[in-house]
Amino acid sequence: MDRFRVVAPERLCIYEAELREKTYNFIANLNRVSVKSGYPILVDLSQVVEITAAASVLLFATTNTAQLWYNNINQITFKFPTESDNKIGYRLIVKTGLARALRAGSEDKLNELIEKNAYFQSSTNPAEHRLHTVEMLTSRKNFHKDRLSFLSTGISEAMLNVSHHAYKDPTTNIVRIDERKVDIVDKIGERWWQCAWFDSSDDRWVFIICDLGISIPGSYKKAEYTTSKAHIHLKEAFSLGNSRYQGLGRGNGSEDMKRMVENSGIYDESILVYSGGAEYYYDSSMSEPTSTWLPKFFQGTLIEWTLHAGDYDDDKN
Amino acid sequence: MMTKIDVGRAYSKTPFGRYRTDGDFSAERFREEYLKPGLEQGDTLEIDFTAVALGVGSSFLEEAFGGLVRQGFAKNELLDRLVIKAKEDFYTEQVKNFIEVA
Repeated sequence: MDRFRVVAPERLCIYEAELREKTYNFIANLNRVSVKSGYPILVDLSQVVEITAAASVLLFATTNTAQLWYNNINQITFKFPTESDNKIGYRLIVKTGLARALRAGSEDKLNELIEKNAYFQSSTNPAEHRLHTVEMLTSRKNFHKDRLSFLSTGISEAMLNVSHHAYKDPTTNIVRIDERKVDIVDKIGERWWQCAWFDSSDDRWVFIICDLGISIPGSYKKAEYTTSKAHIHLKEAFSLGNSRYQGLGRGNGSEDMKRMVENSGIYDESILVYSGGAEYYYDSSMSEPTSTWLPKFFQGTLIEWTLHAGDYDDDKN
Repeated sequence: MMTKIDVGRAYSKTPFGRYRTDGDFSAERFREEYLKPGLEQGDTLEIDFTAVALGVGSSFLEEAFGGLVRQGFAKNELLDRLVIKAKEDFYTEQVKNFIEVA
């Protein structure tokens, strides 16, 4: 079978509106050709000169899904930038470890990423993987004990939400996979993809977790969910602090995910969420988070934190 | 008489998850094997989280304590008899809230 060649845009970014559409079109095209149609493809990233953190994880999630779905590491192959022809792209894709993650198209290769403390990882097991992740984050930079507590709780709840809600049918009390996600869960499990890297210039971590599930607005109020109201539902789901919705629902844990921002002290912290046609943003300078409707989006949820480790405290342990 | 549960030493340094299917040290198991027997032993039950190594998530706290209400324990009785000890104040607030809204 001939291999399809899909050329990436030079700039891959989902933060900026003018780049978002091209990036999502590229991701959707990859998904359509490689997963839905089953064609082996070559993804040409050789001309990429910008790829943001969130776009990197989304690309990892999309290509990894195709590889695991067909149990074929060569379902998708890549042409990466070279140091001689595209120094910026080489740094962003090869030197960051993204290239290695994109080639990790099997369970064994994904486990190697975890064992090697790679910045890009994937898992279906929150109980084990949250410990690996905290270990990886703290191996690079010691955290103040309070900030470690906030961080570990937020990350843990985000992972647990994937396991409890991202791929589940929200319309019933019976625990079962949503009918739209049965195929993907059957092939690759209730999976998320993540990346974390330390920005030494700002002395802060960026941590991202992404799933390809039914989205937070979609699972929070499925009966009322329309994409035009996604921003309302997303904000509501993240504002559940002490409301009557707390308990068994999707919003549980959202307070944990925001606590680092709300207890930032002298640091600038933020949480950014893309889910089901909405963008939610909250940083430590804001009294109220913003939630914005997006005309273009991907199927799933992506949560990004920027966070400082704080001054290391010897009482950490 | 006060009974005490030192979560970090008696149960796990890293308790996590809502249900037993979430892992070995879930809230469901903690509630059934520690909280409920503890409530049967004394008038007041102190749950000490100070030796826990990582933050304990809302899901764990809700299932452990809100779950007691769903299983028939009276809210007022739980609020009277449970004492939460933790380095961060929000543990006490969360547990109280989860019991009230369960």
